[in-house]
Amino acid sequence: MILLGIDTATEMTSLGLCKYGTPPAVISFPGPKNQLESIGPIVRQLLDQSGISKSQIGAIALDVGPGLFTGLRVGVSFAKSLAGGLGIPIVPVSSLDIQAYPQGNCSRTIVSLVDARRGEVFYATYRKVPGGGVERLTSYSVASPEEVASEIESMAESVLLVGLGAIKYKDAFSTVSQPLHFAGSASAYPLMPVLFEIAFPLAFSEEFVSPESVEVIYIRDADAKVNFDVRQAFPKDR
Amino acid sequence: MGMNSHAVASGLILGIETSCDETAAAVVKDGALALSSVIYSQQVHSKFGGVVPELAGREHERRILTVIRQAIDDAGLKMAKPQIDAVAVTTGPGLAGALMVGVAAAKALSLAWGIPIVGVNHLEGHLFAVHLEQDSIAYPSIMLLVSGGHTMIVLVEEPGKYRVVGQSLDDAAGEAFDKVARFLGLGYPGGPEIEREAEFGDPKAVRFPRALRDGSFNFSFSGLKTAVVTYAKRNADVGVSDIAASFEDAVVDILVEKTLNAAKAFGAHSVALAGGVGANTRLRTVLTSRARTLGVAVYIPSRQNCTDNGAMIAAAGAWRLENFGPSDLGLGAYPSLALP
Ligand SMILES: [Zn+2]
Repeated sequence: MILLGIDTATEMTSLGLCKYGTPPAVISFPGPKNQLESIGPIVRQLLDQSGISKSQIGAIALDVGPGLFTGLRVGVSFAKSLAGGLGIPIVPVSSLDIQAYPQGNCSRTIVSLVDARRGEVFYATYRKVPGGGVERLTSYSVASPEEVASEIESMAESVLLVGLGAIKYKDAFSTVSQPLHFAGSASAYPLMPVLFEIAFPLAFSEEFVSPESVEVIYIRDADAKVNFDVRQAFPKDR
Repeated sequence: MGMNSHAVASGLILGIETSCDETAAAVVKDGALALSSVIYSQQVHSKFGGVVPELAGREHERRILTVIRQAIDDAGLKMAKPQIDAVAVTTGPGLAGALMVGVAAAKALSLAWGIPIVGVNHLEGHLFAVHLEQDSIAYPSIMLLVSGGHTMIVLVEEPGKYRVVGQSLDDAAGEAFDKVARFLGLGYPGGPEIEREAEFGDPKAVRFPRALRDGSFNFSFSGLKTAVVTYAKRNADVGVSDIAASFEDAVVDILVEKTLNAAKAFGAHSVALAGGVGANTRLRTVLTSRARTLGVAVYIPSRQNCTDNGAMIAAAGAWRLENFGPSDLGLGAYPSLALP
C-alpha cells in the first residue's frame, strides 16, 4: 500500500509519499504563502523522484484540520479532486491528533494546540493508551490561551502541551499552578511521518471515506458578515 | 474583419469556475460545443445581502468535486478515465479564497489524468460565452460585459484583442440592482428580484436620471441609486413595482445606449452581451431590437451562458491553449487580474 500525504492545515505545509514499511519521502516548506502554487509541482516531484506512478497510490492521507482556513481549503480541494480523478479514497486525520500521537509514551495528560490566529488556539485533550498511541478525551475546540490555561488548572494534573499553539502562547500558561511541560519545537507542527503512521492502519482496515464525503474541521464559524471592502472590490458577480 | 472563426484546441476540455459564488464545471468539445454544464449557485449568501467570502470558499470546497463529477457524468464520460484532453480554470479576477478552490482542483485533475492545465481570465471567459452558441462572430465586436462585479464595454477586434472602451466609475450595474432591491425591501440577489417586481410596474412611471451623457462610454450608477432612494422616500404613494420598473428602464436604457454608441464609434460589425446581468429580460429585448435598427449582428447568449459557468471558461481555455500553450502547474490565483 502506498499513501500520498497532504497537510496544508498550518503554517508548515507538508507533502509526502510513503510505501508501507519504508521511510516516507517528505517535502515540507513554510506556508501558507505559495501553498497553492507549490502543491501540484511538489506532488509531481515526489512521484518522479521516488519512481512511483500515480496509479500506484492506494489512498490519500489528509490533514483535515483544524487549522488555517485558506490553507485547509487548498489542500482539501486538491486532495478531493486528485482522489476523485484517480478513483481512490481518502483517510482524513485531524491536525490535533497528529500532533498528540507521538506523545503516546507520556503518562501526563496531553493537550494538543494549533495556532488559530486572532489570539486563539484550536485544541483537544488526549491520554496515552496501552499498546501505544493516544486517545482523544475532548472534542476539538477553539478558545483563547487564557481560557485553555484555566481549563488545564481545573484538571489538577500534570500536563504536556504540544504544538505551535503552546509555544506561541507559552506566557499565557504561566498562571497554571500544576507542573506543565512543553514539547519542543520539533513537534510545533503536525508531522507527515506521523500522519502516515496514523493513516496506514486505518487504510488497511478500509476506514477511509469517499473524496466527496471529506469534511474540513473548521470549528470556528465563518465571519458571517459581508466584508464590504471586499464586496466593493468584487461584489456579487451575476 | 468580417466573419472570423478562431483557432482553438480540438478535443474535450473541462472548464472549472469558482471565482465568486457559483461552483461550476463543464465539458466542452472543440472550444464550442458544451457537452455538459453544471452550475451550483450558492444560497448561503442571500440572508447577508452580498457574498460572504469565507462562506463562499467553504461552499466551493464542499461542492467542487460533486460538481466536476456531475459535469463528467453528464458528458457521458467516466471520472476514472474521462478522455478529457485539458483542464481550464478561472485564475482571476475574483475572491481569493474562492478562486483557490478551483485552481487547486484543476491542478489535481491535471496531475491525476496527465493532461495540460490552462489558466483563464474570468472576464475573457464571459466574452467567449458567445462562441458556445455562434459558429462565427462578426468582428470587430462591441461586447457589453455586465455583472455584479463588472460593467464594461469591450471592443473585441478578434479573440484575444481587447480594449476596454468604457466602464463603471462607481457601482457595477448588478451592484446597483442589489442596493436598490435592498432599499425597496426586495430580496437578494437584486437583479432577478427587481425584474420580477418590475413586471407589474410601469417603466415610464418615473423618469430617473441617465448619468454621464457626456459622449464617453463610461457608466455611473451611484447617482441613479440615490435618485431612486430619494424619490421613493418622497413619494410613498408610488408603488414599488413602478419604481422597480422605472429603475430597470433607466439602467437598461443607459447600458444599451452606450453600447450602441460604442458600436457606431468603433465601426463594430456586431454587439454581444456577456455577464450575469445579461440574464435580464428587458436588457436582452431592448439591446436586440435597438441593435437591429443599427444594422449590426447581435449575439445574446442563453441565460445559463451569461451567468458564471464552466463552459465559457473551457471555451476561452481551448483558444488560449491553441494560441499560447498550457499554463504551468505552478499557476496561482490572481484576485485582481485585468482583462488581457
Ligand atoms: Zn462573472
